[in-house]
Amino acid sequence: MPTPRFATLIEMLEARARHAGGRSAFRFGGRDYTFAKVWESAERFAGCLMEHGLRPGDRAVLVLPNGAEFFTAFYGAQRAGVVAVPIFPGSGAERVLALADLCGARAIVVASGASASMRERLAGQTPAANLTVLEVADSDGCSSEAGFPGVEHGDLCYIQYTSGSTGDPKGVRITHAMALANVEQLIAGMAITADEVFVSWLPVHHDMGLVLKTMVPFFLGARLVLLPASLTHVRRWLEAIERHRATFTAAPDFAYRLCLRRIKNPADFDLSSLRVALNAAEPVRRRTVEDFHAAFGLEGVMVPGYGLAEATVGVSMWPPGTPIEVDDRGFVSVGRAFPEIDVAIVRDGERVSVGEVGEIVIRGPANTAGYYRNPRATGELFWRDEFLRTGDLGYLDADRDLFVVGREKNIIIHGGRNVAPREVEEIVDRVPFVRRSAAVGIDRGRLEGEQVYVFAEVRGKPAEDELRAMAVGIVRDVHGALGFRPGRVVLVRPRAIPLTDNGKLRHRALRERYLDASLRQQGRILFPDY
Amino acid sequence: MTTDDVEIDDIRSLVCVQLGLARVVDEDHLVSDLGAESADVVNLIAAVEDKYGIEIAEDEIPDIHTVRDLYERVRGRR
Repeated sequence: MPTPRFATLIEMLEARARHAGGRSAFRFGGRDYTFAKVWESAERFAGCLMEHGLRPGDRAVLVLPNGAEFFTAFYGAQRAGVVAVPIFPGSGAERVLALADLCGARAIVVASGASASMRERLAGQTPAANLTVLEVADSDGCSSEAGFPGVEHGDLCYIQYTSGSTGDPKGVRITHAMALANVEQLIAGMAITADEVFVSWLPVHHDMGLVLKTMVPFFLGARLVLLPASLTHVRRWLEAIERHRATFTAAPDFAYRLCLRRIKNPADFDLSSLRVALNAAEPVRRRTVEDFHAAFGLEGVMVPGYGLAEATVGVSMWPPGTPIEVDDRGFVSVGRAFPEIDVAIVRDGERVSVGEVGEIVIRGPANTAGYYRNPRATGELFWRDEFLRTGDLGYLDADRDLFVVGREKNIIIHGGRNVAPREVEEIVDRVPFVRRSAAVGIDRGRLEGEQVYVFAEVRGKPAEDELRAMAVGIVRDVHGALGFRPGRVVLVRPRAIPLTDNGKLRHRALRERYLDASLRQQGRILFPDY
Repeated sequence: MTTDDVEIDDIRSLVCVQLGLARVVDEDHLVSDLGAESADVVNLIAAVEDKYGIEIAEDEIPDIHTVRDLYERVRGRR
C-alpha cells in the first residue's frame, strides 16, 4: 500500500477545512454545509464529549438519521479520540441499550430535541452506570479550544454492528487505517475523481452509506448531495440526480426495482449525467440492470458490486461502461476485487478450482481484525489467520471475476440490511402465548425481494380474534424494536416448526414446508387463512 | 369466496394485521397516515392476493393509496 495521504479521518477533514473551508462538504435539506462548518461543529462536539468525561477510546453510540448532526457527532467523536458506534436510528430503546451495553458505551447521542423522549424510553430500562444521553445541540455552548488528544492511524475509529447468523449483534472494529485504505481502494477501483457528483439516500450509519457515499467524497472534496434515508418518495432520489447532474449513486437492487415500478414515465427523467449507479448490498438481479438501463435510456451505468462491513465495505465491482456478465444460472458477476484485495474460494478448509463454488474469503488492508469484545466470533472469522470468511458462497471464473451465489448461513437480506433470524425470534418469543418462533426469508419474486416471514407456535386454543390480536402484537413488537415489519406473521400449532435432533430450528425445512403448502395441508396453520 | 362478498371490514382487518395496528379507518393513507414503507405495501398486496386469489399488477400498486382504494381494487371497481 502506498503511504496514505491522511493518517486519520480527522487529518482528512482538517485538511479539507483548512484548504477548502468554504467549499460544500455536503448538501442536505436544500442547504450546503461547508467543510469549515463541519469541522467547527465537530470540534465543538468533541469538546462537549470531553466535558462530559469521555476519554480517548471510550465509545459513543450515535442514534442519528441522515443529516448534518450525524457528521457533527461522528467527526466530533473522532476529534475527541472517542470510538463512534453509529446504529440504525429507528432502533427501539431496548436495542439501543443492548448495543450500548455490548460496547460498554459512555454516551448515547441522539438528534437535537430527541433526548427527552430517549431518556423517557430508557427510563423503564436499566442503563449501566455513567451512561449519559446527549443531544447534538448540547454542544452549542461547548468550547472547541479543548486540548484534543492525538489520534493515530491504527486507532479504532468506529464499530459497525452487524447481525451474525446467531443473531448476536457483532461489532466490527474499523480503524482509521482500515477506513482510509478502503476509501483509497474504492477511489482507485471505481476511478472516482474530485469532479464526481454524489447523490445518496443510503443511511449514513451503515457501511456503504458511510464509507462510499460520505468518506469518499470528503476525501476527494467531491460534491455530495445527501437525502433522507427513505424510499417513500423514490422520485426525490431521481430528481436529485437530474437536478444536480449526479455522476455517482449507489443502492441495493430493490431500490432500483422500486424506481422501475413507481416511475410511470421514466422518460421524464434525465439521468444521463450518471457514470455509476452501483448496485450492491443485496443479490443483484439481471432483470433490474437490464430494465433500469432500458427504462432510463442508459448503458453500462448500473454496475454490480460486492462488499461487507467486515471488510470496511467495498470488495469488488464490475467495471463501469462495460456490459455485465451473467452466468448460465442467471447469477450476475460482481466483478474483480479492488486493488490490494485478494479473493479466494474455500471448501472444507482448502482452496477450490476455478468455477467451483465455496465460501468467499478475502484478504486486504481494509479487513477488520475482529469483533469488539467478542473473541469467540473473532476466532471463527478467519481462514488461515489472514483471510476473512465472508459467509457468502460464490466462485471465481477463469478471469477472476467473482460470482456470489448464496449464503452459507440463514441470514435474511431485507431491503439491503442483514437480518439474523434470531434477532426477530428473540422479540417474538417474548410475546405472550408464543411457544417458539422462527423467522425465514421468503422471496416471492416481487420487486421488494426477500421479506421476513415470522412463524410462531401458539399455546392453547385461542379464538380467531385473539389470534389476530396476537399477529398484530407481533408485527408491532418487531417493528418497534427493529424498524421494519414482517412480510407475514403465520401462527401455527405447537411442534409445527421443525427442529434438529438437538433442538435447533430448521429454517430451511420450515421455508420449504410453507412454500410447498404442506404446513397448510396438514392443518398446522392457525392464522391467517391465506 | 368471490370478491363481491368482500366487506371493507375484512380489508381493514387485513391492513391491521399487516401493519401491526389496532384499528384503521377507510380514508387512512397507507403511507402517510399508517406509516407503511414500500415493502409493507407490497406485503399487504401479497396478503390480499393470497386471501382472495386475485392478482394485482405491479403498475396498479402506485394507485392504491388508502384502505378504501385497496378495498375498491379487490372488489374490482378500479
